[in-house]
Amino acid sequence: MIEHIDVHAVLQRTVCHLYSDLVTRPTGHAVRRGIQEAVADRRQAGELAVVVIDFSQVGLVDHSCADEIVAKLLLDLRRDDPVRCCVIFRGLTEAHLEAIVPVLEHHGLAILVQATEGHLEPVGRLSGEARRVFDAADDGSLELAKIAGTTGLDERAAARALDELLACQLLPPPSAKGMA
Amino acid sequence: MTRVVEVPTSFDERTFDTFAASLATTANDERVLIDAHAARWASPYGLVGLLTAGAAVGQQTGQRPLLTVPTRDDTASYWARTGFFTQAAELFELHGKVPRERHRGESDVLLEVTPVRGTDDVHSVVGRIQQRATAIVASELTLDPKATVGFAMALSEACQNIVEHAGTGGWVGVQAYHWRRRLERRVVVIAVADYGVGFRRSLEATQARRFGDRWGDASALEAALIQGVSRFRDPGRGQGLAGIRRYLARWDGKISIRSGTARIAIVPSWDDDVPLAEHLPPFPGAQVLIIVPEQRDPEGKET
Repeated sequence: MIEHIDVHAVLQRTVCHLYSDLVTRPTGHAVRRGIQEAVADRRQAGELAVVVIDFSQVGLVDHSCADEIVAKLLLDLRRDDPVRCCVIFRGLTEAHLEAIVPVLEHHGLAILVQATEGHLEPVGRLSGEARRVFDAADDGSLELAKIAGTTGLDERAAARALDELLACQLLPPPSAKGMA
Repeated sequence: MTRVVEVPTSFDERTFDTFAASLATTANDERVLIDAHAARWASPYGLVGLLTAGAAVGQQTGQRPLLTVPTRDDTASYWARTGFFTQAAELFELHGKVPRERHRGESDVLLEVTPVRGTDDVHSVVGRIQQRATAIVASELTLDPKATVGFAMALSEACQNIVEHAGTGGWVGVQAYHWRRRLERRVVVIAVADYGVGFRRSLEATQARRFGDRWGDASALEAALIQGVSRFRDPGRGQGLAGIRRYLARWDGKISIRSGTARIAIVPSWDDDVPLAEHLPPFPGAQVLIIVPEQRDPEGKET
């Protein structure tokens, strides 16, 4: 099951119906709680494989909100979610990423971002090998020998890179492939 | 008895310490008159600093200080246009002719002097500046339009410092003007000031032990601006000032923060400020100055 969360709608519901900018830490905290409640509700209703967090309608994102809504959300989901659903961020502009990327670097995190053309790409702290393996595994194949062959890595390095991607929950399930 | 504190004729971050030194000598039982009648010019930094002084004196003495309005019409009109007198009327007993505040369509005042007391105020400031900053940043400073976002972000982070660390309110003002000293270019200036506890007291509980005998206003500023520490133990904190620094490094801008008896600055090549000044006259709260200059290529042409 895929849950789509419109961050702008959460902002207007939880903080103020007039706001479109994600600024200040209390705002970020309230929006993160709103997202977490939506995820929890959906999880109670059934198995949740993918959460799409959509920033399309959001204006400015500052560092405080990037920390609360992206970094802390991921850290909380990883801590509290035994199933580890896949989280995909959609609608992020270059301006949003200016605030989000340093925050991810600060926490040593990486996220999956859906580009405007629809394809998924990892953003944040991730090794070069893991990025190569991510591209090689684009067709859903996780066969080590094949990935090693495509990336030019030896199998041990490919296995380490694959582990890194799995640990960061950066390999989307097949159900996420058709979202674009 | 009334103590007179003179406002320098040209009141900006350079002359601020003269004003602070005079203010620091006031006693609790004295009525304070802040005398701006001879002032000819004040930067946004000077104006938000004046409001801070008014609030602090009011708290200290229990009575509103007096403020004489500049006698020069153009100075008083400019101060009115910045929204200064609207804020000052709540803090001071104003003496002299206060011009009516007239809003012009085109103005160098990008954001009138605006109170910041809570997160709602930060949302409002960021919303308002985005409308005007797009035009000014792209056309006047010839920055990439993307720089507008970073500018609004820097403004947001600077204002949040008041809400999260000062423990009181403060003010912000944003203005474009010609920076004559050394640079000879247009600049956009963000000035933020509060009358709160200051950086040293804000960080004392979590940082004082680490610095030992070195702990003071200067080391607190160094911890906040250079090392990115926060009074909160949350590891995600302290990224706001780091974000401002990144933005200013990219656009050759300047930040200086004054708190208590010290001032720290990230100084670009076009400025001759010192990176750290200590043993300054004490002044309440914290005062932040952010300057983004017009961009030019090495031959001096606008980029």
